This record gives sequence, structure tokens and C-alpha cells, in this order.
Amino acid sequence: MKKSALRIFAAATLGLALLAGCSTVNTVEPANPQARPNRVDDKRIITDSDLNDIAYVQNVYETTVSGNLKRVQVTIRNLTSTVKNVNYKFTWFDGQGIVVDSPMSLYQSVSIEGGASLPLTSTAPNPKAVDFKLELLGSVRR
Amino acid sequence: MKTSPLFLAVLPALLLAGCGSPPNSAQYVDPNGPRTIVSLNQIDIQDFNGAAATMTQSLLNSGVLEKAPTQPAVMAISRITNDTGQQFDTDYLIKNIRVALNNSGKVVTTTTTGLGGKAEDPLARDAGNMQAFMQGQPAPSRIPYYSLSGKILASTAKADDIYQRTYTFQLSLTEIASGNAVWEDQKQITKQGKQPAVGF
Repeated sequence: MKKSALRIFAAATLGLALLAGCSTVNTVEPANPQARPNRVDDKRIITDSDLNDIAYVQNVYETTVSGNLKRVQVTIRNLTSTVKNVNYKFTWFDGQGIVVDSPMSLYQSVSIEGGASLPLTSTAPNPKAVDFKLELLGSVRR
Repeated sequence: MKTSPLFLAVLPALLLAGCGSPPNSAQYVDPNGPRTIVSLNQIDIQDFNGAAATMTQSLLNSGVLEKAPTQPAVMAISRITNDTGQQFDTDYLIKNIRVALNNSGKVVTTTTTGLGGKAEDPLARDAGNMQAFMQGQPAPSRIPYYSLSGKILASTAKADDIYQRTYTFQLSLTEIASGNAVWEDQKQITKQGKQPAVGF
């Protein structure tokens, strides 16, 4: 009697997990990639440890585009087994540490599958923008 | 230590309030923040802003703006077609792109040359012509190097009681001298759900 109850519980849990979208991504990539990215040392301030599982920052790369504009790529990985929504915003600063206002600085939403990694990119609004900050925020939907 | 049942009952409400529950009365929200209303049947302000930001970055990353012989390159705005069935001014998209490109120092937009010969700023064109006339010079040449055109499309799908709406923003940058599109991109925004929501 106890065994059958346990089986029903396990089946129900599995069903719920499947309904909730518990599936993770498998990936394949070159074992020896040819790319030699310019890695940036980063400083992280974690105020939401749950979000750090949903959007764990794997690496930060930097390059230059259009002659004199900095471009950064922050790759995040969803360490959980369910699809999640993450909001993010890049802000750029000039050489004096003052924010560079731009219509390109705004919160955007991305959906990231369980176990998947996702590159978030931003291009500096002008050549004076030298530093950036990435804000990550969980879903605020009501 | 004993926890009061009243405290346990009030705790969820306190937590919700602390995390910014939706207002009953009107309040200001950041149009570039994550707490705007997400509609299913229309393009929201954050959709225009997001599409404009993504496509501006794509254009800057492409490097084509560097190829114009004079810097910053002069760009004219051509036809931006709204094929969505929703009524809106396409400047919700285009103005953001213009501002960002202008701020980048790579492009300036002409306001005296427009679609069908119409100037966005007729006073500036007339004043320029008058100034040239008074100085005994021909009217100034206002041929831009680039022209920006595009289209906004919408498609809808439904399964059971879930609606899905996809908005496609398409833009092309044409080099006027050659007539070739030297940069093209599109950005799609898909929204899915049963009803509008506050925040994303």
C-alpha cells in the first residue's frame, strides 16, 4: 500500500516537473576553439543569489567595432533545469565615470532554457564611453 | 521563540509590498525599465525602444558607416511602412535610432531632405535657400549619402486559449550613389499569453 502511494507520488511529481518545463539544453562546440577573445576581469555584486543561479556570469569579453566603439559580451548560463526569463540592462560611463545617456541603455528581457548559456552584448553609445555596467534582474511580472 | 500566527499571515503581504506590487492608483514607471505593461495585441513602448536599440547596435557593429567618404555620414529617412494593422507613428522606432546614431558621432540625419521632396524642417530648408540666394550662390546641395527605409509587420497565432503575436521590425540602409542596401537587419519580438501583464 505504501509502495503504490510512493509510486503515485513519484509519477505526479514527474508529471508536474514536465508540465513546468523541466528540460535542459545539450550543446556541442569545438574542443579547441580558434577564437582568442579579449577577456575582461570583472567585479560582481550579488544581491540575489537565486538570480545568480538563473543568470550565472560565465565570462566577459571585449572588442572594438566601427573603428573606435567598445563592444562587450557577457555570457550568462542558466544553472537550473527550467526555462527562465531574465531582464538585463547595460549602462556605459565615460572616462570621468559619468553615465553616458543613450536610447540604447534600457532593460530588455530574454528567455533562457535550463542549462543553456546566452551571450548578452552591448556596443558603447559613442567613443567616449569606456566602462560599462550590466544589471541583471529576475522577472518582475505581476 | 514562538511565532505569532498573525505575523505569519501578514508576512507574505509584507514581502509582496517590498518587492513592488502593482499600484492601485497611477504612478510613474521608467519607460526603459522592466515594470511597464506588456500587451498582447499591440506594440508597447518597450518593444519600440528595444527594437531600436538592437538595430542601432547592429548598424554600428556592421562597420558600414565608416565607409562613407565624409564623416559623419549624412542619412535621410525614407519610407517606413507600418503593416501591422495597429495605428502608430513610426517615429517611435526611428527617432530612437536617429538619436543614438547622432550621439555616436557616426551619422547625422538631414531634416531638409525627405520622402517626396518634403522637408522635415521646411523652415531650415527655406532659410538655407534664402541664405544662398542672398550670397549669390546656388541652392545648397542636400544629397545624403545614406537612406534608411523599413517595414514593421505583425503575425498572430493561437493555441487553446494562448495567444502569440510576433512583431517584425525590418530596416535597410541604402548607399544612395550605388542604390545598394549596404546594411539590412530585422528584429522580431514575440509575446505570448492569455492577457496583458504588468512587468516583464
